[in-house]
Amino acid sequence: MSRTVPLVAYITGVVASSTATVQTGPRFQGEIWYPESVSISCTGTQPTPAAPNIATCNIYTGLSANNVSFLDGTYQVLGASSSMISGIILYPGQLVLAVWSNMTGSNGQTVTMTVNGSKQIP
Amino acid sequence: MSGQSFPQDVVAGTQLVIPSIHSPNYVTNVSGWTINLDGSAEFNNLTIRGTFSGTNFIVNSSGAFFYSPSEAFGNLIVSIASAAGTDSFGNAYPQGINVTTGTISGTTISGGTISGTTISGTTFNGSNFVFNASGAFFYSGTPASGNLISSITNASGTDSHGNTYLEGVTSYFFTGSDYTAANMDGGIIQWFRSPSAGGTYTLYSNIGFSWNSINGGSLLLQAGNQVQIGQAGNLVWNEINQQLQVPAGDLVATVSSTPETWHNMPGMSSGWSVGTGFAKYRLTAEGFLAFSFNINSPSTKTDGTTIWATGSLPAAYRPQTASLRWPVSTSAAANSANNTPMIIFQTDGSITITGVNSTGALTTVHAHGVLPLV
Repeated sequence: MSRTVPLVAYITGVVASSTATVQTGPRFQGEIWYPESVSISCTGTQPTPAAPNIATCNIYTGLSANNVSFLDGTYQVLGASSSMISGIILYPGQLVLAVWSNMTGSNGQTVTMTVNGSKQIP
Repeated sequence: MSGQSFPQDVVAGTQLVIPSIHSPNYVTNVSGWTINLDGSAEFNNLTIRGTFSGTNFIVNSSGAFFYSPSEAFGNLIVSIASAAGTDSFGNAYPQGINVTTGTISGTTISGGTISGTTISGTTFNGSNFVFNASGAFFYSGTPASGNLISSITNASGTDSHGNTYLEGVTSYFFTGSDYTAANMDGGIIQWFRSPSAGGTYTLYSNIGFSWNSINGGSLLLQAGNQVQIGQAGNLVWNEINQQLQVPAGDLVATVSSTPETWHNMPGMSSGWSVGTGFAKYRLTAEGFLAFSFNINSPSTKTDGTTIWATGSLPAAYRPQTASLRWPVSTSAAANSANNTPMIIFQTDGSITITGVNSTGALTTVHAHGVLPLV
């Protein structure tokens, strides 16, 4: 008999070549995620890439990061939170991805994505 | 999906993190304003109360200053200032536009003072001068018809105000009734006259220099009417018909640069005549009276007989102070109390004879000589 429990998914990564990507999602059979918010953060200082490039962090939901799966984006690459993911149901195999780009000078810094909500487990 | 997206903050800390901030009506190069992440900006109007500076230039309340290769002492190459001064690096600059290196060029350049190393253009206008492709023109006052006072040109023409100008270096003067021009062109100094500022200039006289391999250089003075040389208003030399003439009252003889031709004496008086002979006179180059009398028909032999009446010799050929005597040769022996036969040139132009009152036949009287007219 399934039951619903809080969802707190925390994943970290490291900036390399001015980019970083982290992803998470339900992994077990019968696990269903009901996310309500996603938060991102990065250690260090605000990157200053050469114009017109700007440091960004985009959130995707689906099988991979692409224009179809794009959910939300921010210039606040050091820390921001979005509730645009609320209402999306994720089944095993589906992912929540955070992609940092144009992170000039941030190589080696740690990035973090946290997904909050609830999940159903068998 | 529902919920709230990431916050759309413009800055992260103090750093602009969006491509730009701009006014709602911003259209590139048309309207509004923008400040961009790359450091560029576009505004419609801009007021700067302090200094506006960039790479090698500074604009402030003193003016606009441009430097090369960097902002430092000795590197100020262009300044535009409302008053003379010294910049923050110690470079002195004058009032106005000053260019110390490079070129000033344009179609029309006008102003109070323009200085620089090279200034090029088509036309330079000043308050009373114009430099253009035709030459340099200077005016008395604002350039206008009738006030052209000098020009330097490579060809004759008419300026934009209707003033006729001459090729070469020329000075113009309005006499009150017409215009004169003193011109130097091709090594010749010339004087012209025109009835009006825009009329035709006619040559009246010139001073030239000529050269040939035999005689060398010559100075030529010539005019359409006369060549005169004077000092303090006193005429000392006047050339008419290639004769040097001295004003009356100083000397009475006309000195010619070529020998005077012989003149015939007028008819004799007291019954005398030259008969088959002749009687001629002329002036020498030194102003002496040269005469040659061959009288073959004498008459009255009384001492003091007038053989040529008063006025027979013109004034220039007469003694100036007192009568002058000249011995003669006769065909008969003299037995006059005077003993020596002679003719006497009188100051009134007459000639008398004495010393030929002989009882013998007097058929011939000869007298030839050069007499200083003292």
